[in-house]
Amino acid sequence: MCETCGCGAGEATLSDLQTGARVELEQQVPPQATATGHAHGHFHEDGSYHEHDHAHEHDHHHDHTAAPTTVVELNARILAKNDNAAARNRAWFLGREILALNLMSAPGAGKTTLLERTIAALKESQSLFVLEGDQATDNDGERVKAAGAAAVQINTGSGCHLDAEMVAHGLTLLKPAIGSLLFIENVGNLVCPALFDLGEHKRVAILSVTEGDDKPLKYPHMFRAADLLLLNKIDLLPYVDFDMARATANARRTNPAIEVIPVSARTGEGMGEWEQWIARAQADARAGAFI
Amino acid sequence: MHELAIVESIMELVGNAAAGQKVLKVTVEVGRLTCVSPEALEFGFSLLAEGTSADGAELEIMRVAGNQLNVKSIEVEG
Repeated sequence: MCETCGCGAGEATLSDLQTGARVELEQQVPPQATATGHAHGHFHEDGSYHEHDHAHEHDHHHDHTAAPTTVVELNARILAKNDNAAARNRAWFLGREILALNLMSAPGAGKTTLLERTIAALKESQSLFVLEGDQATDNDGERVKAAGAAAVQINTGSGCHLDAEMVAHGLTLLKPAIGSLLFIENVGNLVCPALFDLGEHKRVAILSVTEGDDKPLKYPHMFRAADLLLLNKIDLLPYVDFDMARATANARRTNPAIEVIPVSARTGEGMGEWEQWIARAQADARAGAFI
Repeated sequence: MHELAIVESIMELVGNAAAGQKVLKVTVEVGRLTCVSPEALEFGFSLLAEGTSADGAELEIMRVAGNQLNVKSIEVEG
């Protein structure tokens, strides 16, 4: 377990809410390392470091001639492993004509309530599937399932974002149908999820009017990565200082191509425009399939 | 956050490229938009490199624009 932030490996679990099955995800466990003790060596004037494996004797000198070294250029993407898994997911979605949407936001912006509302509106006409990401509990998974979608809950333990491999495992349990609509509700977090491609077709960021209207400037990576910004909880505008025009302008400053739709998951305002956006995205996703 | 997962990926890339040679230095490029903390990266590296061919290696972090996150190069003995 990381001592700085508490994030750990090997903790993610999946729950198939249809069958009750629970699956533990095998993740890479870092080699056991102790952070105790101090270095048993010293630095030389030339900057090289010399290890000692005997008791504390720091008053002698070593005669070193510079050892030959080679610089190996890698230019390797650190997230290549995740990118490969994301590419596989993307191809899988394309082949099955599934529209996969990655929903991201700060905790409490209204992702789950918005999903409940969207599922209620679309369930008669569409096959709906949800991958729910949270650190703990099945709460959100059960909510969207009650609303009318098939759901698998991914619990990341202390992880702060979903990654492509978790999504791939989730898909083997969820088995979304051909031509269906898949919502991936990411862990509430405006920072980390933006870094991890899941294989989604479109990314939807949700910002509520109870947050600051300068958030698109403070979290540039998230808003630059998003295709659509949903400004949620607009029914609360009379009670907050949130400036819609400023928030929209800030979003466009960070990402000129971003689309913006104001909505209220509570009252239903703006939901029609959101559903039309989904329909366009589905047509777009199917146009890319070569079956 | 997730620096430990990033360091795991770094260690995998370094291990493959080092091919058994002792690693003296690892140079990574960290984009400003990645929101990755250099301190957390250094801490994670010092933990995970222990016992590997990169034990004691220097981690050089180059800050770059955008959202790149790469292992640029490694320096090995020999």
